[in-house]
Amino acid sequence: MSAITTPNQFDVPAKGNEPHGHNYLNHSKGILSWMFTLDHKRIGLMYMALVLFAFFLGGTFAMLLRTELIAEGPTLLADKTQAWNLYNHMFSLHGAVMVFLFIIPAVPAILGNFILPMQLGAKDVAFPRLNLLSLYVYAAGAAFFLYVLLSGVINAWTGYTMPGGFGLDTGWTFYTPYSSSKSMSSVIPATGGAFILGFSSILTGVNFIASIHTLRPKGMGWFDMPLFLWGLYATSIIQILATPVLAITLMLLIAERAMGIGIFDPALGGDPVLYQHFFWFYSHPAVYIMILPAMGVISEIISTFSRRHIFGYTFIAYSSIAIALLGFLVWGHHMFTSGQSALTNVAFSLITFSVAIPSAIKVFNWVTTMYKGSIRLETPMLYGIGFIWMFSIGGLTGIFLAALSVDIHMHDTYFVVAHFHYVMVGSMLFAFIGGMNYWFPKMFGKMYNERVAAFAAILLFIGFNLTFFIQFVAGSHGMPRRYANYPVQFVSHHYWSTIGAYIMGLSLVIVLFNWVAALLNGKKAPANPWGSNTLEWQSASPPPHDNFPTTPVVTDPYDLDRWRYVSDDEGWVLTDEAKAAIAAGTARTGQLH
Amino acid sequence: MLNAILAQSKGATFWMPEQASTVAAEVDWMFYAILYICYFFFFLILVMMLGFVLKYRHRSGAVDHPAPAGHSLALEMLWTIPPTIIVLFIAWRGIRGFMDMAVIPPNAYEIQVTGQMWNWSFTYPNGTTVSELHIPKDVPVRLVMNSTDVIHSLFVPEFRSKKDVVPGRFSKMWFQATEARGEYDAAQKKWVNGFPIYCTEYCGTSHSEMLSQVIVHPTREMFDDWLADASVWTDKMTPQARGAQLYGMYCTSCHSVDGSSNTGPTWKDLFGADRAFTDGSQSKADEDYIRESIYYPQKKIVAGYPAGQMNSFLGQINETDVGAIIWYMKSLSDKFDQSNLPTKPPALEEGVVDEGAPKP
Repeated sequence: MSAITTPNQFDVPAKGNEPHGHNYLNHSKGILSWMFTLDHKRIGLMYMALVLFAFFLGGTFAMLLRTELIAEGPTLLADKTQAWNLYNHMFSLHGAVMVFLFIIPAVPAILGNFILPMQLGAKDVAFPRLNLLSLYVYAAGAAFFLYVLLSGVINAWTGYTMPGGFGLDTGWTFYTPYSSSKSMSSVIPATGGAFILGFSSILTGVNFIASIHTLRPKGMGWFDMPLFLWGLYATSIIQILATPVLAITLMLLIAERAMGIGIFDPALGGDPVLYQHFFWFYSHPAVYIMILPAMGVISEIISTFSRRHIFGYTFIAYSSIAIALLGFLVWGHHMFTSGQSALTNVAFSLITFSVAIPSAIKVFNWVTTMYKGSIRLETPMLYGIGFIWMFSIGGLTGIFLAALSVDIHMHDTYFVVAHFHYVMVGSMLFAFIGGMNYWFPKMFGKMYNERVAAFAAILLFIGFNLTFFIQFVAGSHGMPRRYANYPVQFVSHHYWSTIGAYIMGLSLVIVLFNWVAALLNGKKAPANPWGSNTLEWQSASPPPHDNFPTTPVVTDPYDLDRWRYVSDDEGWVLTDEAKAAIAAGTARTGQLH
Repeated sequence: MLNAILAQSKGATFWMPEQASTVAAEVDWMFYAILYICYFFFFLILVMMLGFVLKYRHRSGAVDHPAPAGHSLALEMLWTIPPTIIVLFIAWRGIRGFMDMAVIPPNAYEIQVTGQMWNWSFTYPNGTTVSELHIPKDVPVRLVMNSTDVIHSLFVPEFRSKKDVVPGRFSKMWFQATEARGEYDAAQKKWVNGFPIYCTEYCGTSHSEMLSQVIVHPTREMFDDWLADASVWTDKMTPQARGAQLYGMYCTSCHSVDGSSNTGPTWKDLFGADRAFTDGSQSKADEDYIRESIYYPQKKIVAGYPAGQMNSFLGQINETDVGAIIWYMKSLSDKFDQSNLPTKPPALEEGVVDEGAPKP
């Protein structure tokens, strides 16, 4: 650590990094310096490479399954059974890869790893070695899924001639007894992979909780933290409390499948509905693992680009915790038709509605933050506005599904598919890409092409809504999910949905190319291109190895008046008043409560 | 007035299929009530958000407004308390509607349902089993459902009714049809235009083929006539025709009869052919082999096909019907002399004592 040579200056860089500035990217060289790094920023970037690769795979599966559905009857393969099998494998792998390898780790492991210590004004997370371990555990879990995938591809290539144990055709939910006793696919490697990935998730959660408890700098009380940290904190609570239940469940499933120990299969004396209770006890809270950090990102973006202090800070912070805790009590709403008792259904329906309230609080606070703002429609803000649109639709359609009588009709139809894609893809993906665009200049010290980025954001918005809105209509008319084929009345719904999916795919390719182009020859980014007041922007872009030459002075994270815009090259710099307040020692927190 | 707005037509609307059961109107009322509430909040959010974007958009050179820390307890309460009241109302009404679906009338007519990869069978009190659900209009019907393998789920969109069919336990659902539907197509020799039945719990390869239909007979008398008619086949059709009917009920999702490939081997020219098995043994596909394959399908697996795909039909297809299936397979095979097929329904064959089908 003593190798740091960043100049020890008080007023941390208002300007961009110097041409040959020392930063975490060039701090040390060679592949080993990355493989064994303890730097949270490098770990974040390595997570980024792996998670984006997983996203690419999951997206490819989505394109394939939508292509199978573009027309009635077998589409990708001439033979009916093979086409159905291919579709079943595609939707299972799409779900499993997207959930376990992309959505759950994306925001915490990439953006959280990079940004959390910096927003705390810290040098690193509380347990840097544990952080590196979580990356390798993730890679090990991903390797299991890669095996499942490759064996499935080889099997498909050879015309499904192998006796079994390849690919994955159980859906990401691994419902018993199909998964434990009937499926011919690689259920054990896939659930083993999910089991291992759970540990990665737990390690990250432990690390974030410890970091937020112990590394907050002088002057940063709990209610002086940026809301992104509140989102990550709420997420981490779920990760460490719920993930072990998934681990146990998958272990029991493996024990039944491998050794015939009867737990879930009634033929062996087990109970298949028990599996659903176990599974959703984790997997419903996991939905909030996916959305809470995304909400944190949106809080940062909406405030920054409206140039307004976030409205109702404490309500947003508490609502994150409320969602995390209530999220543990609603798993039974996945099982309204499963045969659980009517009284159980009633209880779960009532508790489920309670989650709607903190969600509504967040949305109204974000919108009110924009009131009387000075709104800049730069790309991250486009994603922020898109997020509010998506999350409003995703959240409001949840009300239909929480209402018992309506859910009986909608359960396991495309209405549910559309609902959770609006939350997990529309909302979470928009927050993730928005957050990536927001912090990209900080991470790499480069600016991306704003016009291309904005174009991709709008195209993604159009493609997404075309793909999924029509699925609400198909679903309410009874189109069941996970169908490789469908009755003729749903032909046009599926056709347009597939066209929308292609538009989404195209726009995501543009997003990626824009980032790659920025890395290769993007304009140099200033330290604070957006004029945000959270601490990471008070470091250089890209940051030095130790993040901050001196501990930055903590102020209200949403006190945006401290910054004024100078030029594209300089970005936003502290006002003279703000500098004077730092020098006089009167800059402080405490305006929030 | 609210009821007037939300009372939907019985026909299909933009959002919902036709209403054909006693609970459908309540479900649709609830659906449209939530829909209009959602429209209100969505457009409220949208108008505020886009309005602020337009009104407060930064223009170059303009000085930013000062941005003090803002919060207002009154506003927070405004968007906490009314939504709470609204969702409590929706929850109450949703629960009330659900209880109507959950509480089965004591006088309901009972039908046993078996879900199996990938077909449905419906057994009536007199023991008759069919693959399509026939019910009378305006009579509450109770389904007592069980699965022989994995979890399935029975869904009739027009009835707004759905319930999982779980192995190892009986699950129950009920409905009362309010619309008659379906007619017998004499040319195709099958019932058509019923309300569709979908399997809505993923159950493997041909999940999307696990379809059936509900035929709603206009009166109880017509239903009783149908049931009496369906209960006896030996005076109406040849055994190979009965075999074809059983094929349509149980076998069509995995076995073709035209030589095309599917999950299981095709039945075309199967009877009398030589079979090679995965354990290396061989045998001829004779009557005994076919019976064993229906009752104990895992004993011999044809080479090139994965094990574990087919379930036993022991207890579902009786010996008489197995005989009929064998006749049907004979009628499909070039290795069987077609002139030896029965030409009359078994009960009408001269000199045959009616004890079911002639032994193959």
